[in-house]
Amino acid sequence: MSVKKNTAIQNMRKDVEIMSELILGQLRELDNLLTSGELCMESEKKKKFRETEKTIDEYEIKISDEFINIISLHKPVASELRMVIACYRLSINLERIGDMALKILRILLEIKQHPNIKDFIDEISNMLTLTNNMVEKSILSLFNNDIEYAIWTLKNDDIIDEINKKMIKKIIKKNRGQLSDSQTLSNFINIKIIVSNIERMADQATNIAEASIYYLKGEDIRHSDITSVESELEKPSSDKNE
Amino acid sequence: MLKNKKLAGAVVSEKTNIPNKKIEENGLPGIRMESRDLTVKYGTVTGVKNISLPICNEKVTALIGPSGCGKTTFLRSLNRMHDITRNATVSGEVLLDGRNIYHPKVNPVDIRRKVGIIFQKPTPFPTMSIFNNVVAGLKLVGIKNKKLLNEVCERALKQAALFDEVKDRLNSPGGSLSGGQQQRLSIARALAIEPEVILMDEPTSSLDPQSSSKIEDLIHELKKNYAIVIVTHNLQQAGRVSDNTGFFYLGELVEFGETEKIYTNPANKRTEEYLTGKFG
Repeated sequence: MSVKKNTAIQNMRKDVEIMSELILGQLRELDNLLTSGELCMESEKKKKFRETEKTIDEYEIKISDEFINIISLHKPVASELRMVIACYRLSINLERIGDMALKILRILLEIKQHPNIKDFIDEISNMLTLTNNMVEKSILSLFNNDIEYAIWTLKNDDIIDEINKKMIKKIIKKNRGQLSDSQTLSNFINIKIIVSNIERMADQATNIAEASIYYLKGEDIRHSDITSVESELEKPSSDKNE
Repeated sequence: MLKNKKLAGAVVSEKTNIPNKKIEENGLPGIRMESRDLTVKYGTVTGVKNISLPICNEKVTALIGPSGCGKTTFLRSLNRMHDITRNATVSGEVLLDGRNIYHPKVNPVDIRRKVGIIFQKPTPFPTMSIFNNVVAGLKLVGIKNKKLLNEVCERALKQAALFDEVKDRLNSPGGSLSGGQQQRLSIARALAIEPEVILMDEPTSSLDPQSSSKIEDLIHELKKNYAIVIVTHNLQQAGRVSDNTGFFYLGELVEFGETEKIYTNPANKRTEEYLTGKFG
């Protein structure tokens, strides 16, 4: 085995793990903020959140460079190729989750004063908790070779979509007749943005789960119905365990 | 005249750039050649055992595996080269157009005309002219018609992507060409007798990257008209040029399938380990 190639792949994998830890930390901060119900964050924490977001962006570029170098210099094949591709896809999705987390934080801190937000805080918090779980499990599925976590993530995406629809309906219902008031309209839009961003974070988690399945099984299941591919995925991969 | 000139087993037609037609024998469309339970032994030592592998028209089939795994042994069995190897015994079948080439009534010389082989090192006759190198096979079977020889030479050199480089010095010795040109000359010589299948045993291992690249481009062009089998140690090359790949290990065919599948998601653990450099 080429030590240089192995080291390059391990380094890329390690960087994606660090990036994943940073993202999960950001999501935990966001979750704590919502769970506390206060929607207040110390300025030091806010600063750290923004700095972490910058670090996440830097990791995205670093991982992209590592990906290009591995492909051009080491030409990986088979499971090594799939791992490198999965890690690259993971880094792109993680970066987007980081952007969304920062956007959600900004809006939450902007609208914290308004009473309307309190009516939705529990639902948003629950939605975020489930999404965070999806992100965490999709990442773990890749690094722990756990197909079950990936399937769990894919299945929960439908639940998030359903919550999203219900939330939008609830927001409209609550604000019916008050949308001529500019403050109410602004809050309505902001809550809608938060909910949509959480829903999109869940979509990124499903992308990560799909990348993980590509690595683990060599199957590209993007844009496929999970119920139809689930039984296929649970089959053992021919004689690889010989 | 060129039309339907018989060459003891080979047919030279005017449309010489389309020598092969797809056959659909054995219910397997596109299969030109096929080994069935092929075993080759050198005395008591088994070179390859029970190899069943299809070779398709218009496809390049790459044989990969560590040194000594039986790739070349298998390749050589496809045109009966083991007939001249002492102690070598072959069992099983190799079907060419549905007929077993090891049938006692089949003349091995006819088989070698239909199944051309290119070796690792270029094998031009060094003192023979480029022209005579190309038409050596035809002259050997008694073809003397100059017009025919000229046409075959030009066609073969064009197919081997060498014509433009040597057209003004066809009388120069084959040995005066560069290594890459010599290898293409060897290919032109193989093409001149219009084989059905072309076997290549590490055809670029002694060439520089630029010459290798030319041979790879040539393989890509030739596969439109021939079934090609290539043995290579260069995994990247096998990935680039082939449509199907067979992985050999310890004389056995461990895995055979579409190259894309083998290179991204091999079914067998040993294939995976070989491709990722864990052994070999």
